[in-house]
Amino acid sequence: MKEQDLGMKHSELWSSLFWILLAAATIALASRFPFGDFREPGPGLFPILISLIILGLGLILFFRSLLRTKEEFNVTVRSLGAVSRVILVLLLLLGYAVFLERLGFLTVSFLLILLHLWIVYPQRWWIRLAAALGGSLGCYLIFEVWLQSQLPKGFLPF
Amino acid sequence: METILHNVLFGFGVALTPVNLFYCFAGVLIGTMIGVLPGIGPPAAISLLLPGTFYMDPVPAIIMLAGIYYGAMYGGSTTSILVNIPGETASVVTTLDGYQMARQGRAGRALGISAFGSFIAGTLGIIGLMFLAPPLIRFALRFGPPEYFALMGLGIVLVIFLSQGSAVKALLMASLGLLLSTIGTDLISGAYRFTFGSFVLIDGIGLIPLTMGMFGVAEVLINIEEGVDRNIFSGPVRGLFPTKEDWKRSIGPILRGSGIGFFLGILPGGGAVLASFASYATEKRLSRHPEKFGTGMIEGVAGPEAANNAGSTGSFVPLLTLGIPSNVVIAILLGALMIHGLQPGPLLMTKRPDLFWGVITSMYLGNIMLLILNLPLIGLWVQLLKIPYTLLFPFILLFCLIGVYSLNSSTGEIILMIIFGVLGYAARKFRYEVAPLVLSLVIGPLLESAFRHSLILSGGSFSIFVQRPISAILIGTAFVLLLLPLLPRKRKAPQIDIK
Repeated sequence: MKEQDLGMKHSELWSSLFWILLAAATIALASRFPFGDFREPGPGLFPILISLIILGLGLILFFRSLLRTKEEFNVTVRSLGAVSRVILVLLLLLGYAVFLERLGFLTVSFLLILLHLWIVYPQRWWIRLAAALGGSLGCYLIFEVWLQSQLPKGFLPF
Repeated sequence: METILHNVLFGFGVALTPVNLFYCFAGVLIGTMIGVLPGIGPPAAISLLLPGTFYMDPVPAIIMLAGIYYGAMYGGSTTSILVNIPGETASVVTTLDGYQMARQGRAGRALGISAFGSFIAGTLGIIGLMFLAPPLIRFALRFGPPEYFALMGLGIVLVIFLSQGSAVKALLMASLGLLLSTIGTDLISGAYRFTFGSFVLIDGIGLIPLTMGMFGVAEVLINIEEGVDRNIFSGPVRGLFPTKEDWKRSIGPILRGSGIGFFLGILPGGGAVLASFASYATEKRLSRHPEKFGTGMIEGVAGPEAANNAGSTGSFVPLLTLGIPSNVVIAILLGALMIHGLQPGPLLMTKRPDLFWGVITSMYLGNIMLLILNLPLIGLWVQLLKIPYTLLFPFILLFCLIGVYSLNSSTGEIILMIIFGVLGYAARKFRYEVAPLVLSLVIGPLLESAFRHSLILSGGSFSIFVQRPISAILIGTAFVLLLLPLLPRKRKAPQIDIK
């Protein structure tokens, strides 16, 4: 299958900007911690040194990408549909985090599998239901009964 | 010699208890299954199961986690031979000749020699580990903070030097790992760094949310986006026992692969992946018919499969003796030991001989289990490969979610895992390697502590790192390795054509 270009012609340029910004932000934040001196280094010394290394490397990447003569690799994706599936999965994961303590572990686990096999990769209804029931009950047996993890119960009595 | 024999017998006494045998079996079985399934590597599998070991005694826990690692090396070959997709990275080169052998109706022999080769190499690697560990520990007892700083620095540099992509990018990822390791409470001054008032970040970035995000979630996201095309070899798998001729051609590559694998496994950044590539290149160079490699040469399966197993065993040497991880899986195991309240390093052997020798001897038992397991279970693994991946994804994600939540009963950890999942996905898309980041995150606190203690010891003078001979040699080596890519010479990539 031919991959689709995301339009990021200068992928290294973009990633170098990320590193430069990250380094600048961490230097600003780390400068609030006591730096100490080399005889008695404070908590700020190590993060600042590392941030300076990141800044230097980010600048190397930036200039290397500007001076590059041959074409850079482009960030490609298989299809835009595939990317939307990735986003859906991330939303499902976020939903799990938000509702876990409110609805309880069994309910959100059941819903996660059900919705995944409904929206992300549609399956027949009985496969969806069987996988969601089997998966959530299986995890209940492993984590709650066997490993005795303290998972939120929500409105269910078990 | 007598002491080693005594220790080995003591180790077998620990490893042969029913509980430890059970967890060893569980580890190698799960490891083989993980190795068989493309897309879920050993780091993800170990991260997934790590929370489950919190309530266990550390000995069976580490025995099981180690079993997953070397078990995955066995399992990876099955997928490489039957599906032409490596089950994990260390089996990439096995696809070249293994799949061709399967197409020629010799799948059974390819699987058989890979199982026997892995067994021989694994066993030789364990013997090497038993003999090498005690003298290395005696040597490591001379280490102070400057030596530890230099050794860990060299470890990170080696990982960068041996990375497949851009050295600058690998160095950036390693630096990010070090930066992330500073988040949380500073162990020397007690100050909070980069916590932003968040309770979740006070203890620092957890290894489990990070590895589950970067390996578990990111791998699922990549597989969802890119898809996994599988063309499973459909012919019958017969004749698993190699013939006399197969043995004659394979024994040399197996022994060479064992040696190469073990010594490359010890090197930081080495491990099973590099070992398998080096073994393939060596066999191709030594062969009278190098042009036939890639067309179904049994030497191309036997050597790399032996090497990746010996490499995984060799990588336990720096962990158990120096407390330093040589690759990402060992870094996670180091984290697991620390979570269980153990400090890996030269004192581990004297403080916890049950764990040290128990784990080593369990690896020998695990190798026997793998040999017995692998050949009869090949049919089952083929069936497993036929399960649609789309059905497996929600279960992997659910395991990640519950595993991370059960750490501290905090949804904040889940959010962290999702963030690292996105970061891991982006890293793959922008061609950044994740391994240097994880390795640096684990080493980070030890490295910073050794750095600051060295400066305190020397009264603020950086010369302490070059005045002590061991530290000077290690730092000198690190500098040479960092400067080598700058020399006007092309970095030589392994001459292996993977189509």
